[in-house]
Amino acid sequence: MFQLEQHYEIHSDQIYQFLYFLTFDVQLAEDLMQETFIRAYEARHTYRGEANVLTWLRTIARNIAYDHFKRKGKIQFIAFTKKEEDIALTLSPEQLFSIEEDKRALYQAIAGLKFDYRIAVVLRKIEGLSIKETAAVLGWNEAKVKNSTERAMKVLEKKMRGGAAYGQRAGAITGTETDPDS
Amino acid sequence: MDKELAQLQAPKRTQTVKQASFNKIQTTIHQRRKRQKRSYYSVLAAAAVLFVFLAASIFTGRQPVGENTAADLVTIEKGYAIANNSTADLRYMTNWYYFEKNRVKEEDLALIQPFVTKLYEAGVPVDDLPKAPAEQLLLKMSTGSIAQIAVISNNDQYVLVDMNTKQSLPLTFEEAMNIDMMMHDTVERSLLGLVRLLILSFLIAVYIAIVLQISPAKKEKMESRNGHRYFFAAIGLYLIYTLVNGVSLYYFHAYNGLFIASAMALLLFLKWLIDYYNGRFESSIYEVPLLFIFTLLFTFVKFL
Repeated sequence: MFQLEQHYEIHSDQIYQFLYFLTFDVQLAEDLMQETFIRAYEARHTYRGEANVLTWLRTIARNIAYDHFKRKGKIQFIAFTKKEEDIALTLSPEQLFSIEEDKRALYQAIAGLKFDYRIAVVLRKIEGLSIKETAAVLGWNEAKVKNSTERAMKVLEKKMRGGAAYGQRAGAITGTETDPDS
Repeated sequence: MDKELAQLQAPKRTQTVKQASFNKIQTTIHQRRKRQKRSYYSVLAAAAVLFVFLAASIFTGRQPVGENTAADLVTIEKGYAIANNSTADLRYMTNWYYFEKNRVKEEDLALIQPFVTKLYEAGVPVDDLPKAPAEQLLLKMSTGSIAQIAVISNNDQYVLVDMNTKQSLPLTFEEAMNIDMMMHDTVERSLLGLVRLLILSFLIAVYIAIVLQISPAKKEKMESRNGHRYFFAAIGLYLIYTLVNGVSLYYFHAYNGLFIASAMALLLFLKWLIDYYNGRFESSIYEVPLLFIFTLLFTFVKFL
């Protein structure tokens, strides 16, 4: 059974962190986190306790973030079946300023990943979820989780290697690079 | 790289920010509940208004069939054979939705035409009419007036009678049988109930197959697929339609089901709009237009 106050106290930071690494925006992550709990409360009768509450909340958060980008036109619908196209998140000067200098390149690189890759990296590598847990959150099969994570990591490494200067430019705000394999 | 990623942390939230966020969540939930209540009350109010409107229409819309004058009634524009199983005559049932009726073919109207012309030119008024038969004709004349015609047996003599002006025309046994058979064939000229049922079952099976196998919503949980609820609501509506028709036929001697069903379909549509506005659908939204298409098909099969 979902208890708003109790589960907010326990999970709000984790949901916030998950959303932060999808949006790289403190205020937006906070807003989407609030929306996540509101939707969870409204849909509490559909929660059957098969997955744990945090997995369920992460799934809702993922859908809300995806809807947000879709509404903002950051995800382009090219064909009906091709749902999650690349998104080009460009970190603003304020966002970059709030990040420690030595981590800016990494943040830029993560932000530049397409949505599927970014969410796989966030869940698997930052949040430390297992392949099975990640598959449950995203509604993917385990093979897809594994492949997406591996590919995302390759892209990330490539970005980090090739873009050393990219991160070195103090305070430089550059656009997002296109994924080589996309 | 893995280590670096594992060490990443989102900016910390203070206790004040956390509390403010929680308060905002509670306020938003409260506001949305109020809005939802308002929308439900609006639908209820709309339902009440519609109900009053429909009730008023039913009870004030009972106009007499007659007002036809013999001089005007020479050309039949179109005609319906009516299966009226009630004992009451049809004089208060002019509106089209009251009848279970079938259109009379052009060649059959041509068969009736000379008798009708003669009826109004040389018809003899009769005072004491026997009970009207179940199968009758409702003819729309070129002047716009409507005539209710029946073949009845009066003292061993078959006559064609206008049920309103009481004019009658004697018919030979053969003529009476021809008109009677034509009416009977028109009323029965629909698919057999079993065939209709089979076609309906097939359509329902196709609909369910599409919804379960091809619909973009197939990955969603069944209980969260709101499109499904509309499917069951539509089936419920059909049952109510049948029930209202039965009750209405028994008490008012008229078929009012379509009228009520239209009103309820409108309410269902309003509810769907509100649900859509509130974002209650995911991909199951595609099931709703599909349901409308299939409802049209069901209706088409029903009137075959």
